[in-house]
Amino acid sequence: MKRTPLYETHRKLGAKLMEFGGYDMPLQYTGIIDEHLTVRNKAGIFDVSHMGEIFISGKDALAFCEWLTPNHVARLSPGQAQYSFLLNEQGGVIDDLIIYRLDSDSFMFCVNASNTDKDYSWILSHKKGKVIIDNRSDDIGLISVQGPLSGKIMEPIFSDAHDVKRFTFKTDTYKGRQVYLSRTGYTGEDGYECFVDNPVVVDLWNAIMESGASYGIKPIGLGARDTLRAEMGYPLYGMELNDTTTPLSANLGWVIKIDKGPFVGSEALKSVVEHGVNKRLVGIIMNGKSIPRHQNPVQWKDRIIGEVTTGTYSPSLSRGIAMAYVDNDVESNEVGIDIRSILHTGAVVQLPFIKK
Amino acid sequence: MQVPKDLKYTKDHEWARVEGATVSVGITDYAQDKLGDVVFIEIENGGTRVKQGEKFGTVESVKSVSDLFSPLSGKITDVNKDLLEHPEYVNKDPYGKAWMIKLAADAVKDEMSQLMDADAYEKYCKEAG
Repeated sequence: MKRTPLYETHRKLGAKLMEFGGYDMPLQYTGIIDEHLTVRNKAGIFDVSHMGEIFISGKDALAFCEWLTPNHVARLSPGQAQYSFLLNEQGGVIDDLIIYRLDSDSFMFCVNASNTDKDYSWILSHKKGKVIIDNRSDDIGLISVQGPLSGKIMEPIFSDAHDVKRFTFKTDTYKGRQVYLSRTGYTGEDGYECFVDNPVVVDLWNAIMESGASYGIKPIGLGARDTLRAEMGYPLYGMELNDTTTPLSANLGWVIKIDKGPFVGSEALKSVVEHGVNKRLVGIIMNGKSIPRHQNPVQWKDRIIGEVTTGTYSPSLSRGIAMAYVDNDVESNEVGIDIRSILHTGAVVQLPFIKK
Repeated sequence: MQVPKDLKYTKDHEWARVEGATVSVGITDYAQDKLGDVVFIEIENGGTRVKQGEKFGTVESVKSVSDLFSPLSGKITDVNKDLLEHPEYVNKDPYGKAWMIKLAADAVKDEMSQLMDADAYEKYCKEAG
């Protein structure tokens, strides 16, 4: 199993470790609920160095990225970031990712750890024109700082942190190494993500912990990362997204710029736009105390109308919550979820579960 | 990890405490640590009969669901309703406030001898990691 540069740090902090995306990663330190509420109320620091970074550069890089992904890459200025996908020819999702425009002809894709190798092969096999494709995932660490106090914590370390606006980034340095300091995250809170070379990852982590000590910063594991993203209704690859689901079913149609010109998957998506989707992604808040789980059937009257993709306990709502794909023709505000053969009712709600 | 000497233990990480004619049952410190934050507990109603090793409820943490198995055969005479309102007691006080059921056991002597004592249970947990 792979380890991030922070593996020993996590062990010293008493983390419970788990396998994720081929890495030995921290599941939790003090406990998922405590960590979750720390991010919502103060700030938390995450090691997400397992995420992949694939660089695309060269004379034809822009045209290539525009062909490869469905969002409008040309609308990004250098220093801006954008949520997008790699899609297959059927419009299914190979991965979801953030595209960072580093320069006029240079881009970084931040991709899911478990998909990095698949994505890299996919990108290579679709190579067009004069481009250089470089998978630097094993050389780059990623530290995320999330929560309402994250600005106060990062400003003493990066003097320009304040000027980095949401979904933009700056190229900075830390101990002589280049850092991409990005105002992005996966929690719904204000926050930063720092892409930094492996040799200085531990130093930067320690500096952030020190800067954040008086603000109550805590290390946060993947357990709370999952509950934080679930409360925001953010999709997770392998749960809401997979190679047979289009972004249109997942309420992510806003990412798809169907008229920008041809891209991989555009023909298939045009047909979906024309005919409509069969299933749509909804949020469900349980009426009682029961907690829905992945793959629980969703029912309306006597009919099975779908399946839970993400089901968990929401620490902010103190309730069970679920994201589920349900038949698009069902308009009911209340559905049942079959949890271990007992039907529990829940209210269908607009995502996100909590308003930020 | 706490393993009180006066209790008996199952391989599924329940504990049993003999208190005169009744036996109280809960889950161990090792189990609560593995589960993480417990947020929901379901237990069979009082009056239900359970056999040794049979399921009497479920305990859910944020991330996972585990069944609860009775260490002994008998009738459930009491359910800890306070615990159902405060599942976090399992993490805070697994051998005290987080007792789950009281049993009128059918064959205390015979069945208790099949459970592990504290030393054996501690060894069992260390081997499990």
